[in-house]
Order: sequence, then C-alpha cells, then structure tokens
Amino acid sequence: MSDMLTAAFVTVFIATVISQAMPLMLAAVGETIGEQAGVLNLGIEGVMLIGAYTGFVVTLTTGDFWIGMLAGAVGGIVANLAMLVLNVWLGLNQIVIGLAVTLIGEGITSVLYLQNYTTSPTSLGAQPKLAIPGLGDIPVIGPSLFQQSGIFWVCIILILGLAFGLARTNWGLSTRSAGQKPSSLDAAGGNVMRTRSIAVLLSGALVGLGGAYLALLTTATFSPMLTNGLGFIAIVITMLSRGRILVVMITSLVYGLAVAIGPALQVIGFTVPADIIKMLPFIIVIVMLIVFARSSVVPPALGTPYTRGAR
Amino acid sequence: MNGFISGSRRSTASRVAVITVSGALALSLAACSSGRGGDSGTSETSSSGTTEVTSFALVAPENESDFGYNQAGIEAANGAAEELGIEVTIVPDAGYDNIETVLNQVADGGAQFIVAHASGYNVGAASAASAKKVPILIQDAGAEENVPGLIAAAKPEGQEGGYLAGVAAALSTTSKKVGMVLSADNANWFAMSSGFAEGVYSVDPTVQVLYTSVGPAAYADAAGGKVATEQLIASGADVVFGMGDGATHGYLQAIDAADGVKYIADIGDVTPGLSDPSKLLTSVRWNYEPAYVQAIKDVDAGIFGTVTYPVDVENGGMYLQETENMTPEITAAVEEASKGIIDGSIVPTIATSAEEVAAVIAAKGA
Repeated sequence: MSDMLTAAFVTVFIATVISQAMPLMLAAVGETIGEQAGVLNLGIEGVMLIGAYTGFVVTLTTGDFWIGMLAGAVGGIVANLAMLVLNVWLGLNQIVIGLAVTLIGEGITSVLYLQNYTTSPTSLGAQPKLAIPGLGDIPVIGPSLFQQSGIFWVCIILILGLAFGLARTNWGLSTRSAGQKPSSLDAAGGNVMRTRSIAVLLSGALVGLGGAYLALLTTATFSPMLTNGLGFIAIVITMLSRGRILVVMITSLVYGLAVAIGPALQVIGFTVPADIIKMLPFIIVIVMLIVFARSSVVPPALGTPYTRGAR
Repeated sequence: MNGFISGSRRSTASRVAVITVSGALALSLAACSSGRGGDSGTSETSSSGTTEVTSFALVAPENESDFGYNQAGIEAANGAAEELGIEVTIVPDAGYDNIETVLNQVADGGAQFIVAHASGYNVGAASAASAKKVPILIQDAGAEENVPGLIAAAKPEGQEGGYLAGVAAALSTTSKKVGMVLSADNANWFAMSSGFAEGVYSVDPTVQVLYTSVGPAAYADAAGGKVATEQLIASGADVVFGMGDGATHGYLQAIDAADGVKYIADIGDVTPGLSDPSKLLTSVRWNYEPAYVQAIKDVDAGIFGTVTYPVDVENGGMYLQETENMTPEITAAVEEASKGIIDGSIVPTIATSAEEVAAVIAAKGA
C-alpha cells in the first residue's frame, strides 16, 4: 500500500480535490450572493446544467475554453431571468419557481444533448495549464496547485473579489441589507428591487460558471444530469456558511476531498464498497448539516418578496 | 323571461355535449379494448411459432454514443436486421424507469420480437412478454429464466474476453502495473475483471493489478470516471482497462491527458472518442449479432425460450479489436489463449462481486 503513495499519486489526488471543488465553490458563491440579497434559488441545479451545456456547446463549436466559460455565465444569467422576473419582480413563490427551474434545466439540457450529440464524439480535450514561475516547480504542491489552467486562477480571483465586495463595500452592504431588512434599505434610499435584481443576475452568472467549469475543466465533456445533485449540495453549503464566502471555499474543498478519497482508497488497496464511495460526499454533507445545524443562519427576509410600503 | 329561455337552451346544449362526449369516450374505450384483443391475437401466433419475424425492436437504456454496451447492442441489431433482411426499430435512451410500459408500447407498435438490452429490464420484460405474448430476449440471466416461446437470455461470457485483454495488457505494460476501472456493480464487469487479472498473471504474475470503481450504478458518470482513471494512472498503471457506458467519456479524458498510457476498452469501439487513437491498445468487443440472429431464427422455428444465447469467444461474440498496438507477439499470445478457452484448457474465474475480484487479484494466479 505504502508504495502506492507516490508523489505522482498525491499530486493527482490534490488536483482532483481542487477540480471537484471548483464547480461547487462557484455555484455556492453564486447562491450565497442571491441568498444574502433575500432570494432563495432552489433552481441552482437546473441553472448549473444550463451553464454546463451552453459552455460545452460553445467550446465544442469555437474550440476556445474562455469563450465557453463566458457562454456558461451568460447561460446562467439567462436561466436566472426566470427567477428575476417571477420571484423578484412579480413576487411569486420562490420555492415553487426554483424547483421549476431545476426541472426545466434538467429536461432541456438532456433533450438537447440527446438530440444533437448522440452519435458524435463529445470530447473537449484538456485546457492548457498555466505554470506559475517558481511555485509551479515545488514538488507535489507545484504541479497540483500551481499548474492549473488560467480559468482556475480567474475564478479564484473572482471569488476572492466577491468575498471582499460582499463584506467590505457599499454594494455588499446593500446586498446584505436587502436580505436582512429590505425596508431599512428602502428607507435609507437604496433600491431593493434593483439590488436584488443585480444579485440574482450575478448569482446566475456564477452558478452558470460553476456548471461550465464542471463540463469544460472537471469532466471535459457533457452528459445528461452531469451535475448529479451538486446544485443541492451548493444550497446546503451556502446555508451552513452563513454568508461567509471563505467558509464556502473551505467546505467546497471538503466536498472535493470526499469525492477524491473513495477511488484513491480503492487504488491503494482498500476494498471499499462502491456504494460507500458514491455516498461519501453526501454522508459528509449530512454530517455537516447535523453538526453545524444550530449555526445555520439565513437572512431574515430570505424567500420573502419585497413590496414597497407593505406591512 | 328571455333569460330563462336562454338558460334552458344552454342546459339542453350542455346535455347534448355531455352525451356526445360520453359516446366518444365509450367508443374510444371499445377501440382500446379491441386493440388489446388484437394484440393477443398477434401474440398467440407469435408464441406458437408459426409467424416469421419480419420486424423486431431493440430497447436500450442509453444510446450508441457510449462507445460500449449500448453501441454494441444497437450495432448488432442493425447487423442482424441486415443479415436476415428484416426491419428493426431501435429505441435508445429508454432509461430504467417504467420499462414494462415501454416494452408494452413497443410490442403494440408491431414488433414481433424484442431485445430488452439491459439486465435491469429483465423483470419488466418478463411481465411484458407474458402480457403481450411477444418473445423477448433478456440479458445475463441463466437458463432457469427461460420461458418457452416468450423469454430467453443473451449471456456474455465476460471472463473470457477479460482474460484475453489481460494477456494483451501484461505483454504491453512497461511499468508492471495495470489498472481496471468499473462504473458499476455489474455482473459482466466483475466477470471481465477476474478474467483480466488471471490473464495478466498467466503471462507475468509479478505485474501489479489495480482495481477501482466509480460507483454502484454510475454507468453514465463521466466526471467520476475521470477521477478514478486519473488516480489509477497516477499510481503507475500504464495500461488501463475501462468498463463503463457513459462513464467511458471520463476514462477517455484521463487517458487523453496522460502520456505513455494505453487504454483497453470494453464492448464497443472507442477510437472516435480518443484525440490520439494510438493510445488504444485494444477493445474487448462484444458482438451480439450471432446471438440475435440465432434467437430470431429460433422464434421463427418455434423453439425460442428453450436455450440461452452465449456471447463468447467460441462463437465470435467476444474478441479483441485489432489495432496497431497489437503487435505480432501480443496477437499470437491472444490467439493461443483463445484456443485454450475454446478447448476448455483455460477456464477463467467468474467473479460476481468486488470482493471476489479482489480475491482473484490477491491470489496472483496461484
């Protein structure tokens, strides 16, 4: 067994943890922004699939991963327009609309994929790696962490920027106010509808990016139901993280670890039942829910439509 | 007054509408009822063996883009139809839900013989065959499942193909480590895995055989397949034997990204899925065509349901795909092993679980 734990094995293991965590991280950050503004998006699974499919099709057509990621973000925004119009503007039930978006996303991407890509190869290949000078040569950590694609680094910078923005800027304060006490934001001269609208669109872009990352970089292809419940895990992580994006990042990495560890244990010689391997990420999420359930705090106005002047 | 007259007319009109709709419904029900009667008439003919099959259908859970099981079934059905000069209807992407309904609808559509191309269909197929009296070929079942005139099974001997792949892998590896990845707890794949390990050890017992699984039913989990294959490669395996339907996409991504690694596919031809086809060492091809052709002939002869239809080395249903990586030395060794399997001097172990595969690996050919 010990002879299996080579530098190459550990390198791939760490890289796998990161590549599995990134789509979840992007989606959960998107959900966090929406929830902080008071909009509960249960349609995240469907939005991720739409982002994944859009990114996949555009990358397959153009051969450019960057354009594919951008298309994934646009796909996410378009998918979230339903949430924007029906939830934010018309004040309809956020749970019902969210579930409808999930079902639509799952259905439409499956149908389109099966209609268009059943008889042709759908491999996207690998995106070129960007080695960071100096750091990329560190044993194990270098190739696994510092030789990622440029898209990875842009996503990390984006997430860190949003973490800063949500915690330390006027935009972040307005967003959080829209979820905490929208009437106060209104009274202070802020525009609740506009704040929530921006948050929903930004959330859609990030969730779509998460889906595109999953299809383009993590898997390098698309298949129906590719997300496999990832969107719902993102909702759980968001609720447990209490709006703190750094906590979202850490819990996403724990999920990535849970996904990577099953096959790794088998390869190094443990006979682990396949059921346990597949259940492991979900078991960990359930355990986290149980352990941290008391500390799960959601914005008071989450899921509540805002009507100016209403009591 | 006018209002009363108007209301009375509306009431009369409503009664007429209700009677008309009721009549239409009654006629529809009668039509449906006679439709079922018609079906049973068809099936009686079919099960008595007096009808020559002119049209059959194959129902598969996924489509031919899986480079594997579904591709093999669909290709074989088309091949059998061409060979026999009859019509075939392919029903791909049927999934696993409500399969009895799907099979009933296919039977209602005029299929005189149906291939239910997944072992997960077996229960539903038995019900559909009984209800519609249409012969159905199920998968991976024993002779005890046969029902004369209605049900018989195609049974791949995966351990034989796996053994041949193991011989090829052992002669190709330079790192002395080879790996297997499965996407599901599937009886055929367990059998192929145990055969593969024994094939490897028959050439060189010092070669290390690694094993990993994506999930209990992760047939289409491309992301999970990629993770598992990457870790096999990182462990030093330079030949990877991949077993999985849609998960194969993930295997191929990992193989494409790795240097110096050869891939052994199972069931179908994965060449179109690799950006560098030279990475394909071979594929354990499953050819269902002989089984389908024989089954249809048996339906015509009225003896369907009395035997199981093997997909094995002996009848050409299981063989290794020719590639440029299959050197003369490997080809000769594989041919020798094939002869041994056909004459019975080589009998690969049929594992039925991951634990049994692990036991075969641990035994190292002893």
